[in-house]
Amino acid sequence: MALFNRSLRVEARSIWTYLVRLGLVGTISLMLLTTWVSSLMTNAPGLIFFTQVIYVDLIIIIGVGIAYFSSAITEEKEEMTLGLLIMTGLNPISILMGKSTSRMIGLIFLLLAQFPFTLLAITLGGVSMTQVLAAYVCLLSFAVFIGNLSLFCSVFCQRARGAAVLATVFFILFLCLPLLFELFEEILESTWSNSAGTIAVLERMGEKSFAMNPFMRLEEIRWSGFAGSPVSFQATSNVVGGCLFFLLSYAIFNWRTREQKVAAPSRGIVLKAGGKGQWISAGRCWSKPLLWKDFNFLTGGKGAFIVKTLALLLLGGVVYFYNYQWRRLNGGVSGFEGRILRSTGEFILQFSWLACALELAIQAGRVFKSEVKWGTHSSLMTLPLPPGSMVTQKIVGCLLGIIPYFVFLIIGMILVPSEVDSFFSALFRGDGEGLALLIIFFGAFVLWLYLTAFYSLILKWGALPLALLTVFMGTQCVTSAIMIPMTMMSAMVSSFFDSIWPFFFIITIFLTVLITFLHRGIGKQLAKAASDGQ
Amino acid sequence: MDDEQNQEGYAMPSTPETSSAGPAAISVSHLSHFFKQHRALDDVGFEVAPQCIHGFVGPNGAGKTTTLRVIATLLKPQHGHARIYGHDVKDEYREVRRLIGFMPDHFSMYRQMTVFEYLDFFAAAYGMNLKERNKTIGDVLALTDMDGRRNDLIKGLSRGMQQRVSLSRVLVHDPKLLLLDEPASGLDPRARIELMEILVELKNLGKTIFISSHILSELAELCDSCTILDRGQVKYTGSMEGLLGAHSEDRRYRLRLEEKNEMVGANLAKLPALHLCESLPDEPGYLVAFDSDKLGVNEVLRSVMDAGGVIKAFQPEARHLNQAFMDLTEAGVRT
Repeated sequence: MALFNRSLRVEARSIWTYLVRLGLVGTISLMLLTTWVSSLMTNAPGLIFFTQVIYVDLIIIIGVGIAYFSSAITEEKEEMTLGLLIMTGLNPISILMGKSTSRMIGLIFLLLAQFPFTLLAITLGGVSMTQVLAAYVCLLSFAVFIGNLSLFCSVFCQRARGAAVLATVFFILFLCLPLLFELFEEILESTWSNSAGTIAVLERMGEKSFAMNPFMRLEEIRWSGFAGSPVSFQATSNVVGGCLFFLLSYAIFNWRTREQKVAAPSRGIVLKAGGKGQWISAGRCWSKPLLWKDFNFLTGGKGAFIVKTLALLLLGGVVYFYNYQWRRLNGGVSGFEGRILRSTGEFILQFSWLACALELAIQAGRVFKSEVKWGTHSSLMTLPLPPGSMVTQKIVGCLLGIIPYFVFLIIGMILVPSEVDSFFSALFRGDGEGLALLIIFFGAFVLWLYLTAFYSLILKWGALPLALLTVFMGTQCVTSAIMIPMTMMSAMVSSFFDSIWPFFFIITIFLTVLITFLHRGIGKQLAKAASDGQ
Repeated sequence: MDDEQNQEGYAMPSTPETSSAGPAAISVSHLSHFFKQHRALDDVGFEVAPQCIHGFVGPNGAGKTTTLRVIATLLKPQHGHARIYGHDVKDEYREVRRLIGFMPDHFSMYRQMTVFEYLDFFAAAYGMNLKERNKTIGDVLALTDMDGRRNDLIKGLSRGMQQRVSLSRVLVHDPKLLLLDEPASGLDPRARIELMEILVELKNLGKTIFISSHILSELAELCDSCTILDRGQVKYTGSMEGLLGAHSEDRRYRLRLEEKNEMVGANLAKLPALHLCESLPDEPGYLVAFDSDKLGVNEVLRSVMDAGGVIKAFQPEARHLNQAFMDLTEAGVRT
């Protein structure tokens, strides 16, 4: 209980607890305003509001759940205090409960605080009480699942970052379970003639894993006329899954915490000079030293470059094989070779963008944080290099790490030239609205990277998901803030909505101001950290 | 510098002026710094002559690290000035950064690198070409006796070894001034002694060394001059001799006798202007202190001989740095 009390006190004293709640209340207020605007045009504003709230909640649970719980035990490991806790005689259950219960209560409070607002959806029309209850049961049970999954990763990993990455990978696997079962089914079907029984089992498991998915459950709930029980298979399976992960955390606790490891930055797969793997060592420092350093010791250098390229090529091969098998089972390959290649190319195009964005976001969270975390920024700040040059070198160093994704992207473009063609024609169609949207999207992406870098300097953990959440909520707020006055104006000037350009200019200016503000903010935070001697 | 004296009899600092012989290695004047409401530095002023080892001493929270960070261009001075070889740390920070090598109090190293990679990185950051880097790195590794460990990972080295690598790093660009914040903290006695030997060698090579430390005994042997800081104020700045008693009015002498003689004590006690007359605990004799303006050494010695005392030795007692430190700094918790 002492640990639980301490955690609750720490949470209660932290300004971030209240800022997150304030942000959420602000977002809900804006959603209400948007709903009011929508009510002028639709018949079921309550349903729109309800849909917005529950999906925002789900995203918050994913982001906050992973970031918040994956640091539960790793923060003690990083601060070398876990050994002290164990030496006080606390058993693993007490430590796990103490560290996770306060977090779970915080997350549940965050959800429950919105419950009264969500009830407004009933008043606004289009939603029933059963739907609201079912949605909250779905969200709460999913919070239990994702929280305990991240807690398990926190026990398993040594560092919060590793735990967050592992929890994200597990979560993506969880979402992809139906697809994986389907893939196994198809492989079995094509390779083993007596597989009917196994395939039936896999089919059933695929259906169950589909039913466990909170996205699917919320989709089901939000349909008009929903009259099912608030407690579904999704809710029970998520709670049971959460409990299983808690028990697993307990089971591996002693094994994963027996040795206290001194925190030190990892070299990854960069080999030392002079050995056998000389060609993938960091080699001599380049004339742009920070570029050399960040390419080698942040993105993994030549070794990681090769591994990433090989992994992407392998992935492309697997996708091609999957498409080939699927086509073989559905009418034969003959005459469809081009289509198989095109499906593979489409996957490569989408995947390389996503992977590239994710890698950049991860590097944005590390590029400055790692200097502050290991105390190396004060040595850097005394170098006679202009700050602009330092930042540029660091950014280019990180960008070198994403070259494999660009190579992969080019392969995808070669496979589906028609997609590339239609993408560029869409960009310049009409009066260039596509281009405007692309610029806004790119601006929002850069804002996300800047926010991640900024948060990484002021927060101990969770910078990346929090930045994603901020951008997501910010988009909601900005859209509402622009939509409301413009809807009113459109009532007076009917041609106002004819063009995207007024939106484009407002949003571009807004993004530019924010990015400039964050750019300066990062510089100030670094200077402050160096002068504070952190 | 015209020295005044403070209550404890130590020379007080005056506002430093630039020496006519050339700029001081460090010249700090009227430096004040606030962290919110807390005054971390209060009109701090001192000078450090080139090519000497200057100790910077003070209790925890005295403002040493703040001063050091101002000098190292990591913190902009709010009030007052700091100059390095005549260059202002605020306006000419790029020039200052080329002149200094700063070693912070924590182990701020890229510990995932090898020793060579680490030094190569910093040498490249100072704009050296490959040939210059090879030569410089070889030289600094030889100086710090780390040549045999050049391909070792830094995180695999002992603390003492890491400190040597850190010292090598600040030397790669051949700075004139080394700023070392608690360089010996956490080191075992052997590593400390070896580090101090390297520092003496660096001084002989013409470097100015500004060293902040708590290990007073080592500073006393190592430093030519020192500054004592307490609660953001300079309590003493000047030579080590000045600090350890040479300028003190109320100077102490150790009088050693061949044999115990009670009469000597009685006679000494009758002398005017004698402030202290204590028997020595470990041998026959007395510890005496007197106002040298009012009482001469000859009069004291005559009084001893008049009482029949046989003098074995009569010597001024050097104050230990610990004593000076305790005299000058106030007790209590710093905020």
